[in-house]
Amino acid sequence: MINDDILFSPIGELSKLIKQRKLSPVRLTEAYLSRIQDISPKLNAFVTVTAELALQQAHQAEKEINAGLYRGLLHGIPYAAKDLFSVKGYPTTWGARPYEHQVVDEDAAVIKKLRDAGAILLGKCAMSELAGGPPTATATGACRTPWDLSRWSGGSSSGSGAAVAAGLAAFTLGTETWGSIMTPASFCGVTGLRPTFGRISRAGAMALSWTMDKVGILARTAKDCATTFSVLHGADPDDPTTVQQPFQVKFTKARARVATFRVGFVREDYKLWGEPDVAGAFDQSLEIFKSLGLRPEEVKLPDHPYDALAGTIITAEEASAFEPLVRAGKVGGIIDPDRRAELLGGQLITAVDYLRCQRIRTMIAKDFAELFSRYDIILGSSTLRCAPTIDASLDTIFAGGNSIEAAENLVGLPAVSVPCGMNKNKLPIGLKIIGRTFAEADVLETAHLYQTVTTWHTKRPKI
Amino acid sequence: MNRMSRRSFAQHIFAAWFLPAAKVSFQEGEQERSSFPDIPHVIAGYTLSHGESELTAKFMAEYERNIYPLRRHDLPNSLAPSVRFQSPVMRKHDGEVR
Repeated sequence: MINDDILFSPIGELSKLIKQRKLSPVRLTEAYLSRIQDISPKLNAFVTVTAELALQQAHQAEKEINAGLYRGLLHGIPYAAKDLFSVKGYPTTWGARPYEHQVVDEDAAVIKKLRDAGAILLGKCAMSELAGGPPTATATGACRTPWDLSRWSGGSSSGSGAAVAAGLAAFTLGTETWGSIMTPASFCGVTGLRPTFGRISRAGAMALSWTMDKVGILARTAKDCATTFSVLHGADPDDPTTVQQPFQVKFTKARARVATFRVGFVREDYKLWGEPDVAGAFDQSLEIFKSLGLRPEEVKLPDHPYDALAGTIITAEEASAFEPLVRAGKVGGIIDPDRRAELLGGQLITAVDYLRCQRIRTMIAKDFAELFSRYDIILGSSTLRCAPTIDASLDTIFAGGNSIEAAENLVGLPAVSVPCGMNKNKLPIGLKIIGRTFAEADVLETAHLYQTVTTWHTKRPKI
Repeated sequence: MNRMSRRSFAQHIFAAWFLPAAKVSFQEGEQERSSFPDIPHVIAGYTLSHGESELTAKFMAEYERNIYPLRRHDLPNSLAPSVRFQSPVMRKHDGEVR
């Protein structure tokens, strides 16, 4: 009998038991599938459960491990993927009604890599339609955070956040164009890694914005994110934006190394845009870093129109990516009326305006390179508020502030979100650790150090 | 090449190549328009038939509001767009990073 403690264990503990043959990948997979069946309908976390494939992969993993063929830390570890990654033989809906019967007859690059590492695919997680929109803008019903079933899990990697938080998978895959990993990580109280642009192949994943989409990971700990990232990163000829860059993370030496970091932080106008509890949790986190020997100093962001730029670039690129949907007259299948207007009106954004945005983006990248010559990491709040009710509008949820989020995504910087507190309604709060390009090791080691002296990441919701 | 000769060259290219090409293209476009309508026709057709012209107009107003302040910036001529379709680190054919 596999109990909840096992299902909520970090990858490191699961893989140790699996390697020692004290935990059967088949039994573990069956336990996760059973929990998905019981709990996922309450959350709307899964769109498709790939039970047959999962059990087949679990039996293969068990057979190999019993024969002494151990592939590595993800061998026999069950996971789930956002429903914008294609999986051969199963629907890939992109969270949208016009694509609910779409089947892409090839596995996405990340699915192949995880299969080769011996990981077990439990299913495909719910997402906001075409990776954007308010809580109800999804073909499968609003996805709820396990901390309060009347509230949203965040988007657009909605099910990916909810599944980890509810103990329905050891880790999940998500993507971020502008906040889609940081937000569900924050609202669901899990750890999320958004790597540098070009770190993980997007081949076989839905394109929303070719110059801003990034594949990432949601898991229980920074260490789990690092374990998965070490398998997924690297150049892929099928995604020409990807690069081969080293990734060397040394958690055993994290304390000494992180103590040398120059740390900046962005203080938001919480009174105007956020919740007092989020401000309080952020201040407490700064105190924790100070107790670890760091000297965080406030950073003033270079003055640029980040939100207007990110919005225009994403809208122009998504209008191009989904031009066939517009031409086919099927935009009416999109649930969110504002999104329909974006897809239609986005067709009329001029090339000159789009290029103007990309030119100003060059200036931002240069300014951030200068900023990160003075700091190794910059701290901020993952979201300025906790999980909203599912009837909330996007304008209410993301009313303002958090302008560094648009900047990070325009520049393609890596970041980790870690749980850092709870608000008065017992909803999780997220702390964001941002690094310079390709410095995933810096942000993960900092997050790991934070998690060695705090316990927020170990909290479990009562479902 | 001085300013005058550059203009003459441009006029020559425009007259000899662009105009005839555009004319042919336009005529072909007219013939094809019924089976492959241009985007303004598609948008107009959708918004009118679904009664959503106000939504699209709202979007266009917001787009203008966002983009207008950006248009006021004079950008240096040499400032190239950051179009990150290519990796920030150039790769050799063998996949090594340099």
